[in-house]
Amino acid sequence: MSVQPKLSGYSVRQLMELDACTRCGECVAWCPTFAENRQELTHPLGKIARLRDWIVRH
Amino acid sequence: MGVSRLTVFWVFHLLAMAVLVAGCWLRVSIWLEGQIDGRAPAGARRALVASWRFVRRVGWRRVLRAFIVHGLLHPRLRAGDRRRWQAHACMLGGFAALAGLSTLTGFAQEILIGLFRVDHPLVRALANKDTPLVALLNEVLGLIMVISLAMIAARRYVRRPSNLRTGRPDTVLIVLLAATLLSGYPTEVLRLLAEQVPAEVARYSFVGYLLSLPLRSVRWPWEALHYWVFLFHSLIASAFLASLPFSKLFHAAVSPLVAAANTVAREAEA
Repeated sequence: MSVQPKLSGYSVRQLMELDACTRCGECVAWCPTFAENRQELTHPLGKIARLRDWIVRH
Repeated sequence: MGVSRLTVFWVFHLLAMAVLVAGCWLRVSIWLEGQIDGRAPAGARRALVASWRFVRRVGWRRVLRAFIVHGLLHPRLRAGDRRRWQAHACMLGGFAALAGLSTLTGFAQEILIGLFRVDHPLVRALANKDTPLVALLNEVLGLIMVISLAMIAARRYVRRPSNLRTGRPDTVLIVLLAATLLSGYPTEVLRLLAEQVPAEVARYSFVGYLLSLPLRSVRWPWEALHYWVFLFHSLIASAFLASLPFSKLFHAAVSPLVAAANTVAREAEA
């Protein structure tokens, strides 16, 4: 079962932060989940990209 | 060459500006679907009122300081990677200054002189690309952007940090920016040749002038060549501007706002 995100679940500032992301990869060094499992699904840039894709599609 | 190159440019440029505004509105309308004070959708009116209250509560000075220091000068980036900060500052500063100068030149040329027939030495100086200060600024700012683009490309393709990912959109953006910047030089060379700008005036556009020197004695249809190269340069520049809200370069407009808001909110919590 996939859980679909809702825009109304985010604050305006969080949605702005998605557009402020430059995909520089700095966050990867600070992500404890990705550091633990090194899987593409938990890669911070991957998560941001999937959320962006979802927003564009909806 | 029946249609004036400036007519073609303005038609395309105004269309591109319309796409730019529509794209920005699309992005903002997505933000406004989110929550403010726990309620969604925020809507434009509530977002404006909440922003106004936030600024009133923390003070304009604090917001402005955070915007300039953290939104534009990026001290954390500077402390972390000096070279990356230099490339970023040169690209952002060069782009903002060049866009401002082009807007001023276009405004002086098309609106003040073209529409209102203003005849003032300052307006004439601004509208003329060969005025020493205008020519020098265009040349230096363009050069700063070319150097910073080379630094950015080198970081992406030559000495790439392990966390950095370069996808097709990044490559397309770099190629588009490079085409926009580099096509400016042949355009300037051909303009100097087509308009037969005397050396003592042309030398202020120092890169274009130096490149034009070997061609000065050649008899080619410079005017026709300038027409097509100018169109290529200006149309690709307009297309680049129109693509901004749909590319990652939109962060240049959003990041300073987010950095300022986050800094002020953090300071207020402390």
